[in-house]
Amino acid sequence: MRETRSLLASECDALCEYLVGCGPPAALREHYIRAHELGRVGAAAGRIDRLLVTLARGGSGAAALADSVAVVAARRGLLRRKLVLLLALLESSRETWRLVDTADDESQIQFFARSALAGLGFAARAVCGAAAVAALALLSPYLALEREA
Amino acid sequence: MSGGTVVVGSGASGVQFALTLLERGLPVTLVDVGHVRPEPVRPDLSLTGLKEGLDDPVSYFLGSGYEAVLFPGNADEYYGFPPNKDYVFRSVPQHRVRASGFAPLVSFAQGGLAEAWTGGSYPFNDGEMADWPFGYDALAPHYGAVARRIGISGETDDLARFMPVHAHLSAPLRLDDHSAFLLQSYERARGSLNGRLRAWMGRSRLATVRDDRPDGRRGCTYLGRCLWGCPTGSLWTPGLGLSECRTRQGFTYLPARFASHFAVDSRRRITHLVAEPPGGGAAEEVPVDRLVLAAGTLPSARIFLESVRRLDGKSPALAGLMDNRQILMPFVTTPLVGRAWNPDTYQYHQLALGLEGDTPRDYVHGLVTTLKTALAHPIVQNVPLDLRSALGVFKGAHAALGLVNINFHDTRRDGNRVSLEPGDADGRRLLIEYAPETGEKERLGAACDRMRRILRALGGIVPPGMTHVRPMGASVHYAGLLPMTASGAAPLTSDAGCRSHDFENLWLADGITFPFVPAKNLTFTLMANATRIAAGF
Repeated sequence: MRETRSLLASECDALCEYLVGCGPPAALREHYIRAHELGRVGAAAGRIDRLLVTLARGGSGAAALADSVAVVAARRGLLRRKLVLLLALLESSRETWRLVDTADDESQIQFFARSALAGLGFAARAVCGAAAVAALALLSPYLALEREA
Repeated sequence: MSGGTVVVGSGASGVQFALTLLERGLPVTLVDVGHVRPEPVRPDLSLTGLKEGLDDPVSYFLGSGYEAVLFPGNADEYYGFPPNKDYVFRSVPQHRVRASGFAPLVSFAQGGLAEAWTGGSYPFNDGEMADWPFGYDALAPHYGAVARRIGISGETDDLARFMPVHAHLSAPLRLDDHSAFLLQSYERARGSLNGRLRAWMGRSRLATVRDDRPDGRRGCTYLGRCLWGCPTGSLWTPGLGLSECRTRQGFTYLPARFASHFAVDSRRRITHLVAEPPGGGAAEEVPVDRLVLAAGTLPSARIFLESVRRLDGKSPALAGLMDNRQILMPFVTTPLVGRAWNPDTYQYHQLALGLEGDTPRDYVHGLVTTLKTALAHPIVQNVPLDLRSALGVFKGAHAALGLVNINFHDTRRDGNRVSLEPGDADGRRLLIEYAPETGEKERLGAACDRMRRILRALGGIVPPGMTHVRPMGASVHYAGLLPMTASGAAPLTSDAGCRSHDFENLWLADGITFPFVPAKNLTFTLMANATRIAAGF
């Protein structure tokens, strides 16, 4: 269950890439690690929680799958708490706040089309993610995948 | 030794009471715990400017321990107060409370709870004051006096049918784009809204000034930092009133003192106030000629009850606790989705909705806040999508998002009461018991249905499942435990001048004397009433 600094740093990189499409500035990564060290994020509540975090650490695409599952299966779980922390840090940091809270003008049609596509993508990812989590669950006793989540 | 007039509490009521006496050349001593507001950082920068200009904006916005991050599953009521408002709600060891059906907030800050208010300043009308021993006319000059002191901006518009227009109402602030759109929509749909839905819209009346004032307060510079504490003083808070008191001759400020109780002589005349250091230590006696409790309804009730307990060996229960029920209803103004938004705007509500009831007491008041600057993560996490998609939707919808804070009246009922109960070894505990009025659920449901139709007529939709009924206590408009009455000197009441019927030299200058709480924010009326009481000294 121990989350080392290096593990948290690489986790921050993967989740940041997933959320805003680029890696975090060093100061933000440091805040992310410190918030964990202060116990603000809490611990995994169960096996699903651990598996989702393990999957999300696999990179941006895996994080997207894991998050889509988390919305359905563990909305208040550890992965969502980590992502919300990261979002809060991104919107408060000098280098990244614009990525979170500015928008280009678009038409209503563009907005609704984009939102509908986002919804469809989310549904597809949730299905694929559930399969990935199930596979991880089957493999985890052999691969010790959850040991550090 | 003569004690003169001693006021407890530096909130909205206390400072307006004190200022009224000081303007008349009468001395005042003010006793206060007085947690101090931190100095505002970089008053020249907008909210987004702070993100660029501060060395460590993360600590400023989220707190050094990240305490302002709202995580999923947080069970507490979310107020959204930033870390630099912690001083407003910091408690003291002597304040012990147990509550049932009520979520109380109490402040021991300089300026009290209104340090965190949103400035809504709405006078009560005659219909809403039917239970009071006087009507609007008796308060009108004092509304005007407060408006002169603090600056109230607004307009004589459709909402004037619900709230009288008092003196010294100054020009309103510049509207943000979303609010301007809603007001235009209202003007187009006025006929059906007024007729079918009995709803009227207009400009909020705000304790925020548009233009610079002679007292040094600047007109609003639209920094988008209202919630983080207006750095220019454009939004009046009682802390500014306390600062003004401290410049006046005859004012004595006694901070770092928790008022425990008062003591009386053989004729039950108050002789002194007993105050303790908030962190513990030797008590101090503050001599009193006339004592004015203005600590806020709950703290004033505790002082009163503790004093009676020490005198009589037991203390009564004070009945009739009131507060405004509030419902938060988010909406999306669909014609505005996809548009860019301007962060350099006034952050709080600029529009209000008045929903006429069958009687004036049934009036429902809505504060319409359009989303400008705000922390995004508490909102984004509630969109039922993965966080990246949710963020994309939020960014596109930002300019179209808004929230109506729907306020409901409350009445005095015997079961809603405050008493003292044995606490731990250090002293007594305030026990608060509250239950909603029978039929409240149906009343709230009907108002919500009506509000949804109103918003639809304005171009908005209300996302299903996101309307939130706040717990009682969340609006922090507490009142009613020692009510004003015109019908004789019954115990546990006060006269029309808010002088206690239990102690001849005790006045109650906060909401504790209000016999009824309409759906409007009561702070402006607290201040006007405190001014009225002081004018009678």
